[in-house]
Amino acid sequence: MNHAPDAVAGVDHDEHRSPYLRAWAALAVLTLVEYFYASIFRDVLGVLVIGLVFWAAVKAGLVGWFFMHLNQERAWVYLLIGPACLLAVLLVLAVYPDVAMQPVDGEAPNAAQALKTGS
Amino acid sequence: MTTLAPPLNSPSRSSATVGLVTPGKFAIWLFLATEVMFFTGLIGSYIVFRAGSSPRAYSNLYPPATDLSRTRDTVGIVIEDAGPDPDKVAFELVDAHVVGGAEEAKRLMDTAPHGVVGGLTNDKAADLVHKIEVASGHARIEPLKTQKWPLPYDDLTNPLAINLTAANTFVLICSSVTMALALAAIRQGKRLKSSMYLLATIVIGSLFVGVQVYEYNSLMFVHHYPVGISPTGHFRPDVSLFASCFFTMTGFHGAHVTAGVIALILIFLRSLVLGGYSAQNHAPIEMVGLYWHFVDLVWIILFTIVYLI
Repeated sequence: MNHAPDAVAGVDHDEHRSPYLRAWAALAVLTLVEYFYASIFRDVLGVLVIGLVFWAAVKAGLVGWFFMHLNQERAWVYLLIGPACLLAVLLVLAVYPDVAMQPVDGEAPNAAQALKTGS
Repeated sequence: MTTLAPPLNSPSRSSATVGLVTPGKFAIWLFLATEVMFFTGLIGSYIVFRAGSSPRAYSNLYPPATDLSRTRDTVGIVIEDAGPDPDKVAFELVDAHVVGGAEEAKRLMDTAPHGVVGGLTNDKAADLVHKIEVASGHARIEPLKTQKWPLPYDDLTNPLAINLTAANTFVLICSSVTMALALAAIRQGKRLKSSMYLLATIVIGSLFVGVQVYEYNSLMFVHHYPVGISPTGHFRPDVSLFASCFFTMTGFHGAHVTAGVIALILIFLRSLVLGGYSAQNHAPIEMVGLYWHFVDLVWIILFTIVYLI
């Protein structure tokens, strides 16, 4: 096994720890920011969605970049995970208009039924 | 293209394993790619269901998916306080024939300060509010409000506990740190330290699962919720599309966390054995770590989409 002198190892370990602890502190702050942001903008849906998705993306990015070591990985990892992420997003975007952008009127079926029955 | 590892006695050996293409590491990243597709399927379905939901699918006065075309002119009352003698208030409700019976009236008292009685005319609602005040309770008239989907912080349509889950989100984030520190420690050959960080990750991860079980129990069995959340008073997967989506998404995530805790327990036990892991041989810790961080990352997104938006 590869044993370094204690003092050196201690310094080395601290150096290894510091990016994780900094990322953790940033995640803690962002979680608080997200919590209060959601509370403050709860009635402004557009601002709420855009802001929260942004904060969540930053947090997810921090976890991936530092904890999953994407900052140290080579291109093959990105080539592996990238298409999956891209296709996943495209799939949702492709299906979304078919369901969400249909003209929806809750009264339409009942109105049609009322016309049919003459009531 | 592959990259050769430095010699085993090289000081940079431990950190240089990052970036190498090994079969195990390729497999875990490929697995995570499939997991991306899986969770995007869930999240994507949720987005599509939510966006495609009827503008009148949820209301503050009627159960989810009620046909509201004939109830547009009605109002309701919200019993905010059942007073010192809830039975008296319950009696007024039964006497006014606005509830099915004594049992339903009692359940309404349990849901205070969000006890909702819908389907009333303005006059009847005013009369009922007056009678409840006389019975030392407190109620207010509530107009009908409809929405596509239950919104956060809306106690009449959404039962999710944001404060508790925000804290639990932070708990899971903490477990990611201890996991990363376990890997950093073993890369330096510090076996005991690595084992302790693994144990901490197990404890914190179990705490997350425990809080989720507590939340499920509260939602499904303990609390009584207003009619806008559930016609039965309990929030269970079959009461609405929102409930079904919620339990499907958080349930699958919870199952992933549970699997992660089991995997962590296995590598922790192996780490206790002399020679279990070393600075040169710690691939299982790295792989379980990648899985664990991924589960954390997914929760960050799920919490935002399901609870906060």
